[in-house]
Amino acid sequence: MSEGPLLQVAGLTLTVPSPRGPVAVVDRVGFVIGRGETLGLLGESGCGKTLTALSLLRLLPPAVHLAAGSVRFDGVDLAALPERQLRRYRGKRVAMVFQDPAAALNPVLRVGAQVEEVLEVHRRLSGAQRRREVARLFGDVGLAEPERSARRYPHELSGGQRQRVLIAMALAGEPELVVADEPTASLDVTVQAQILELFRELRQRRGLSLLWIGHDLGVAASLCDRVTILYAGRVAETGALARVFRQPLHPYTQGLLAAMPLLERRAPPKGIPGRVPPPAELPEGCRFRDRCPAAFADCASEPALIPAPLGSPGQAAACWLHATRPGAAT
Amino acid sequence: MSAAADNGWRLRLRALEVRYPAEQRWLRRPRRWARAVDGVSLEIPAGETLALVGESGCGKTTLGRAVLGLVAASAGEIWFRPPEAVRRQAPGLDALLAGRGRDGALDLAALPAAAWKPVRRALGMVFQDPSSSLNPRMRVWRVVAEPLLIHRAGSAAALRARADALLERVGIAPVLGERFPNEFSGGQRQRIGIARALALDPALVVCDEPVSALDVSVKAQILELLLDLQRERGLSYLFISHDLAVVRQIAQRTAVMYAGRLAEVGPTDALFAAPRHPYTRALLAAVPAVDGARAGRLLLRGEPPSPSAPPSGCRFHPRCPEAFARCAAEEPGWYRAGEGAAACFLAEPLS
Ligand SMILES: Nc1ncnc2c1ncn2[C@@H]1O[C@H](COP(=O)(O)OP(=O)(O)OP(=O)(O)O)[C@@H](O)[C@H]1O
Ligand SMILES: Nc1ncnc2c1ncn2[C@@H]1O[C@H](COP(=O)(O)OP(=O)(O)OP(=O)(O)O)[C@@H](O)[C@H]1O
Ligand code: SF4
Ligand SMILES: [Mg+2]
Ligand SMILES: [Mg+2]
Repeated sequence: MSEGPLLQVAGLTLTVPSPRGPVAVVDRVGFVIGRGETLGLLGESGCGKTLTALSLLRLLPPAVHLAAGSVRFDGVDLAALPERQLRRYRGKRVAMVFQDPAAALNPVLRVGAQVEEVLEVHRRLSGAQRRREVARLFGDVGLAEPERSARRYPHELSGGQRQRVLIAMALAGEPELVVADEPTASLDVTVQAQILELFRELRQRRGLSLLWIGHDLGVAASLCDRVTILYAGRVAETGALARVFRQPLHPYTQGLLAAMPLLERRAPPKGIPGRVPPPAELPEGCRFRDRCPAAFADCASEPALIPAPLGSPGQAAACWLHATRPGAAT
Repeated sequence: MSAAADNGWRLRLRALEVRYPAEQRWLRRPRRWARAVDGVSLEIPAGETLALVGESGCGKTTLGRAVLGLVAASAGEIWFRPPEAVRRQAPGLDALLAGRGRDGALDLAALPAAAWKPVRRALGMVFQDPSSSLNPRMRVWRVVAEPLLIHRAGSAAALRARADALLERVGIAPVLGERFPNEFSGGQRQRIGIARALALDPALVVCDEPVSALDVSVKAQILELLLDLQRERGLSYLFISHDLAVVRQIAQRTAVMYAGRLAEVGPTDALFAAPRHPYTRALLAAVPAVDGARAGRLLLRGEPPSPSAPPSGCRFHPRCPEAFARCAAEEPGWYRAGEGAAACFLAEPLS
């Protein structure tokens, strides 16, 4: 094991083909996850969270191309690793909870057997040990009657039950890093609270690191140490959770926080006006420019991710409003 | 048409029951059944939204699918009363109502499959799992326009224009209509599913976790769209969601479901302000807050009950922090709880 952070992503650029040539849907994205740390990757629908997550283990759909960037996991660049060696990481050291449980599960295999497969490949457990471990994992994620649930096919489970099978499957290989893409999106609050507690416990007990992708800022607030906010494929802001949520620097982060629906609030909050432009129609300069209430002349050129002069260490925003020091660059 | 028909309820469920085989035996009748929905009665007025909330696996999707006829009801009634505007547009609906209707409504639970077509266009469904409900080989504008195509509602150019307008309203650039569903992100697919469900101007839409994959900003836009359509056209929604902040904003009334049964029903504001059923209270206490003040307290411990062997008495009693002897022995009936009703002995008036 080498020193330094567990995961270091730098310059990650993903392109998709378009009639006018490849367009970047994820553009020079970078972030770091320390050992035992939870990083939240947040941002509007379509901003590139899932593709970023999939690229870490090179599980991208065929049309999406990893054009540039490095993914250093424990010192090894997974982006440059031959497929055969990468397989030793997948599911074992780095596991993924996919956003779409229905697509990630094999429809013709009982869910217990699918988790057993992970246990067999990565932990070499015997048959009886595997079944006991599946029951334990299913119990951990709050599935009723673990043994009986294990005998079900995916379509015989509810949406939230399928999602929890996927979480159990990700945890089965006892990974060091879990990449969880909207893992609690279809869970009610009580089950969600149980899952969050499970992740907190694993972090404490085993030093699990977590890349948490989600749109629920309340959940992120209760779980993450740091957050990285994406907008249209670029990092808009990053920093310690408490700083970013209390003193957001980027107008986009401010907009996201203002749009939080609160239980105490009856009136629907206003979203950020407008929508994210399709990748080929992004404005020059700051990508948020067309929707930004604070846009001014400088925004016509692209702002770099600049450490905030007044922010806490580690807080940085890609916004000209905060680029007070001349010469600051990425 | 009588005014009452358009102002009364749009949907009325009576003792609805849906069961699944609990143990599947190859080519044999199952020995045991699990009642995923077990005697649910509720009503949704025209132009109103009823939210259905409850723990994962409690039967919400099953109930929603039963309303659409996608899973058969094993007992009970599902009365749907189509509004005048829909009756004018859907050929065959009037004849159907004249034959089988009662008081301008149809019992969908008793409707043979062959008779569904005219009713179907009045009902929309936003599926919980957007990816598997969208045809992967169809361009997205067609996915959205397909219901119009099936019901032959307009020329080719008109269909495309309608699809584009719908995509725009859910925040997806119409130029992207040429792409296929798997070229979209999770939240984008969910919005495509919403556009499709709204394509035929339905009178009742079952929204199964319609905004679960959406960030706050897009979510706010979609909720506004749903509210606009309700104001413009008197749409009714059965709104299944685990997001209680969203429920608060969109639903006039809320029904709380636990293990196949309703635990509490009432006007949303009143129910949130003063929940009566201990399960509703546990649910509300678990909502995470952004300020961390109430970081998802876990009040509900223990296993959710098995639908094939539900607990005796009150189904919540093994996990209920307030349970007493009577709760295990006897099933609570409905008691008035503020402006609503709760199925809990604690809500029983003192005699
Ligand atoms: N297979 C694909 N081919 C082409 N474009 C794609 C493909 N998959 C995703 N995209 C596009 O790339 C962008 C980023 O998608 P991604 O799935 O990473 O978004 P996301 O941030 O996960 O959004 P959500 O919160 O809605 O899940 C989107 O604009 C999407 O339309
Ligand atoms: N086809 C099926 N065969 C057998 N059991 C099923 C089937 N579909 C669902 N079930 C079971 O019925 C119960 C209710 O499922 P349903 O999908 O209605 O739950 P839900 O309330 O929508 O949950 P979620 O919030 O997780 O989506 C669950 O226990 C589920 O496992
Ligand atoms: S009836 Fe008893 S067990 Fe059921 S919710 Fe009320 S107090 Fe709890
Ligand atoms: Mg995604
Ligand atoms: Mg469901």
